Amino acid sequence: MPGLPGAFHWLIYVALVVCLVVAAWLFNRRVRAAGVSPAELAHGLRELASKGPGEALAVVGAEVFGQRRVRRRPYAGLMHLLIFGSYGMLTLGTVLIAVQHDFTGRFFGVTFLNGNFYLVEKALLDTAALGLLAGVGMAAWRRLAIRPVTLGARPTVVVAYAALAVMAATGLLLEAMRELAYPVSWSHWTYAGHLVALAITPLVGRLNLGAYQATWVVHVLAAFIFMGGALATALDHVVLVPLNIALQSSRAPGELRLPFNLAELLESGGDLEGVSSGFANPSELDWKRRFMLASCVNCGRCEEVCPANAAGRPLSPRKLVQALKGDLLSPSDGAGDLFARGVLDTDAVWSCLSCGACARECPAFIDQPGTIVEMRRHLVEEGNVDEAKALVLAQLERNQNPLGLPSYQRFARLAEAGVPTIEENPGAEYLYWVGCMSSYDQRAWGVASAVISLLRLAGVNFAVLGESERCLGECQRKLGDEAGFQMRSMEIAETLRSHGVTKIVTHCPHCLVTLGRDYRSLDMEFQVVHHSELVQSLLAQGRLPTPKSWEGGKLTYHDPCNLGRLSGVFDAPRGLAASVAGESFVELERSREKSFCCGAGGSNYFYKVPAQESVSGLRLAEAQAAGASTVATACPFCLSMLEDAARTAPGGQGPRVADLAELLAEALGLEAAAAP
Amino acid sequence: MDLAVVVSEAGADAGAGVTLARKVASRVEHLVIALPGGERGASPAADARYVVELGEDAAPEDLAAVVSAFAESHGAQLVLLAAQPIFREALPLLSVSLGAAAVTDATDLASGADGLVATRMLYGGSALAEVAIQRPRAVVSHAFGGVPADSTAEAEPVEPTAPSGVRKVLSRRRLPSEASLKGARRIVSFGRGVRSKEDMAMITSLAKALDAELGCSRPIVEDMRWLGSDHQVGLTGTTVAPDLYLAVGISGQIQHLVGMRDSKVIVAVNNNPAAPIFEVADIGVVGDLYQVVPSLLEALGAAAG
Amino acid sequence: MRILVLAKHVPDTTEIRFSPTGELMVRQAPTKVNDYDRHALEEASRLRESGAEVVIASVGPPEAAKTMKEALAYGADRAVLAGGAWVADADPEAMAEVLAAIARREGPFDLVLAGDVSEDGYNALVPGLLAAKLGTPYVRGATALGVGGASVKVTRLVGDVEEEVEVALPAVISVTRLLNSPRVISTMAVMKVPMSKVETVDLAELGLDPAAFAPGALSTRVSAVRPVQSKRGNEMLRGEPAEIAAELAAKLRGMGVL
Repeated sequence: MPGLPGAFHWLIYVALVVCLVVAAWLFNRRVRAAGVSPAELAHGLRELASKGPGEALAVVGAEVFGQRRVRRRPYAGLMHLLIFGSYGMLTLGTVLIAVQHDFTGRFFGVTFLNGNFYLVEKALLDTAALGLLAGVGMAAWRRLAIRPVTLGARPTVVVAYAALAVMAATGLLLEAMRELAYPVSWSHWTYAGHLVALAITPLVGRLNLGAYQATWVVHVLAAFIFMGGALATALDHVVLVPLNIALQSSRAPGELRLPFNLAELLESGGDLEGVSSGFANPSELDWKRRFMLASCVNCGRCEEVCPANAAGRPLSPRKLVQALKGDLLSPSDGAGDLFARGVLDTDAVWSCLSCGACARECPAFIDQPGTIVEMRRHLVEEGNVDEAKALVLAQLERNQNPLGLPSYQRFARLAEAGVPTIEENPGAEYLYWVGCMSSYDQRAWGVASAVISLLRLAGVNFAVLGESERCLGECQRKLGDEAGFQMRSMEIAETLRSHGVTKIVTHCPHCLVTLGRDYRSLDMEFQVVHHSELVQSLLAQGRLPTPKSWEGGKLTYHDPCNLGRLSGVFDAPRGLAASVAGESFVELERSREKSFCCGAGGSNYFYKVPAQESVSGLRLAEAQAAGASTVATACPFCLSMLEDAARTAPGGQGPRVADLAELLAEALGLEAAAAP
Repeated sequence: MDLAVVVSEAGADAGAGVTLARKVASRVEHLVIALPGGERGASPAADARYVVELGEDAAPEDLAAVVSAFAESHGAQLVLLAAQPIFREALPLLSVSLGAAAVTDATDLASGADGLVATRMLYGGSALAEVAIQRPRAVVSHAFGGVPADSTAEAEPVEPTAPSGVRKVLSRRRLPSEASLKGARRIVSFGRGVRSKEDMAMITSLAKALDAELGCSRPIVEDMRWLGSDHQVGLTGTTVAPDLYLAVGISGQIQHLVGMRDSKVIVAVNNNPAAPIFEVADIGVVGDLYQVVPSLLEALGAAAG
Repeated sequence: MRILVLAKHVPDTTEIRFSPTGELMVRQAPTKVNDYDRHALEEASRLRESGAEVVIASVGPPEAAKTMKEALAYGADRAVLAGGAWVADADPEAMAEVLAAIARREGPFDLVLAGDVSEDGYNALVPGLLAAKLGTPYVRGATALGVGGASVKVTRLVGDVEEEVEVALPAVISVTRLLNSPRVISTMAVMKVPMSKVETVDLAELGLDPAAFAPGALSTRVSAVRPVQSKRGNEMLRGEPAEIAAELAAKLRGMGVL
């Protein structure tokens, strides 16, 4: 370094060590405040590594270096990328200089920052400095002018951002001073520094060593203040979020935590006292979930996509996580659970539609819906739920469906349509899981009727369980009765196994997710496909004819959350929609993974929460805005909710709402299923 | 059977009880429970008529004691109590003090080969049971309500027994009748067939004409917000079981049906003959509610006039 | 304070049906704690929180032991279930006799709580019969309870009159569904109740003569059960609005619902 006494040089290393120690101390304080010991964290990471860190690394790579989720918001994404990317580049550049200067060069006489590589590096570092300034500028503009509710200009954050800006600006200034003192021919490569040099040329007379040294000290101080102090600010997410992403990377969308495996619990004959499935207070959570809550950045993306929040229900996933995080870091006074202490209102947890939009959006990989279900579990175990929810649970026990209709009427419509039971047709390739809605609701029966007609036309050998079919317990699980759900799942799995069932088709995405993923997590494996997948493959194989031309105007498709975002089935239903409507198919604004709930998810079909608007109404308005005269869906609950909304659509007649199977059966001229 | 005693509260017609008792007993006496100096009520076709005056504060224990003494002294084999709240508590006490068999809410009585047989509902009304009485005496309450009658025929007074003093009545107040779907006997409910908020007036008049409560389906509350949620019938609203449920312009989603399917008589008005509501209806009217409802109002008005 | 709660094991009436040959199919129906008794259990459980001892008494088949676990999950100390072959025919009088024997054996109790009725038989007799047999006061229809030192105040509805009465303890009180909102009993809560809290007793252990419980010796006996046809009429009226309206009004009048 030109013009600096040697001691300065070595002081940097001392400062770096101090800085790292301070950062480590702050990190330790941070995680301990959340009730996580660094030992636990280290153990968790070792465990992750021993299980094969490939998946976690891939996810962290995509999210941290690829900024996959962060990029989804243009302004915040660009700002974040500028700051994160520029800072990363500057750090890397500085490290390279240090390595060459104090290690390879000093001891081995090897230098690598030469020639074109050096020039390009210089240009990149100048760009990074400008990028950092731009990023901080955007951050300042956002916090001071745009002011989203979630962001303020707390002093610690101001200091951190100021440090970054000062670091970048003084870096360029130093570069300019060096250029003025020692002009070089390649100064256009350090274009930013060069521009600064041009700007300060009039002051050149007053530039002396003292000014240079002072600038340098400010530069280094700023860098170290940021590095050492970031963890004391909201910028602690730089460390917390990548770690949390790694820890949460294996969670499938919508997957709920298994608090116990009831089958194993019963088999072991262990004492059930003290076993619980949810949490009464955040302090009871295991370290991993405490760490998860602590890593919330309060960015507000969950809130933006939350259908409950959009409908004016008393739930914002951001506020909910922040309340839990706040209570974790400094518990409020008072006795009892978090509801008794006023941390949250029970209406907030009952407002959740379990649609998974927030979790899909969260850049920190926080599991808001799962956390909410765990609070519901606590409420159910305490018996602290209102009559409507209690009734659903009671009716599930008594009538084996959440509607409270007699179990023996479940088979009535199917029997009339002449569908064989698995006893009558033990050689069936597929078991058709009809579900409660289509078994009892005449409108939803139309879906089953269409599926039956299509399967018959394609010559698929299928059967149903008949009267021994019963609710799979999706609503029970979402309501929080985990033990009841697991008990039910064991009994149903036993029924299915006793008939040798392996392949199942269902038109209900709630059943699909439950029988497929949830039962598998309890070691009960069945191959389950959604009717849209099976019918689409029957079309592709030519086992179903191509439908006649469509004259129904614009057709759009509403992705059911449980089918799309939570099961990853997007293309088969679109294939069906396209084969029915061809060119008349239009996408909704929020489609595929970004789909917006119909309002029935998370058991919300069965009870009421306070709201300003209906979720289904919001979704239907979107379909109307797309000019759709028909809204296709692939879930009996979505069908019911959206059809209801269509009936009350402003301006009289709303669009027609129908299941894809119904539209296809209609296009093929099939009659309602009747006894053959 | 030689003697049955029919017991009823004054101001109510005991006709149903006397008719029922006649089927199994050759002589029927009527014991009226009256307030001091109050109305006496009618005793249609009874062979004899008695009245006992009990204060408003009289306990079921006192009621049981006086009826028990009466039945003992007259040698009645059957005490038949009217379907009135005051007898519900007294019945078991009475049966124990008479050593009699007890049966509640009988819908029929008959003399079987081995004695008296009462018919009553079981399992929430899904079955009828015949209950054979295996004691020489029985205390039975019947399930038929009476209509107030104003006859003031002569009756022989019966001395009440001394008050037991078992219970103290601390307060008593008549509750203002509150409109509520839950216990309503008649409900007129409407759905999206009603096109505008103004048209609700038509439905309200119908409800008024039928002396019915006003109900509605979910979209009316949640999407249209024409009514508060206390009017909503269905899964996420109130579950109702009135004597008459008149559904106007309701298609009959399962969410609505599970909330009203236990109604005694269901009438549906809908212009779509394929509407699911017709599946659960006793009477379905296929037609435009904008024509049917005014006509119905007229038909009901004519009946009232 | 010692409280006895009567909790009945009943089949779920919404699942009871007749076979095509007209036989009543009760066996297949799921069973549960009588809904009305849940309110009594809830009330007792709240009193237990302030120090009362709560014992549950019931009469039922062997499988009622599982139902007793559910009843215990509301918060009670133990349950006594009287059973035997005689249970199948037991009438309300016989049940009250057995429950009275339990009350004497486990007693003395200050308060006996029960639901006003049971969902299966709907006799509304057992609590009153029990009170008469124990020689205690009986108040039914409780919508609110206030238990004092030596007496209990009961608020109840008689027709549209709300009255508050006070009776001395010990007393039998039967309750309505307006009394409280029973907590939800989760599957886990039931599983956590140890079976050892349920004691099963027979007539001899209660000092009762089995001969008195033979079908022929009971005060009443169900001699026949037949289905009630409750299928909807599905009668459709079509035509001129004025004519249909008149027809409808006439029909409703005929049905006695106007």
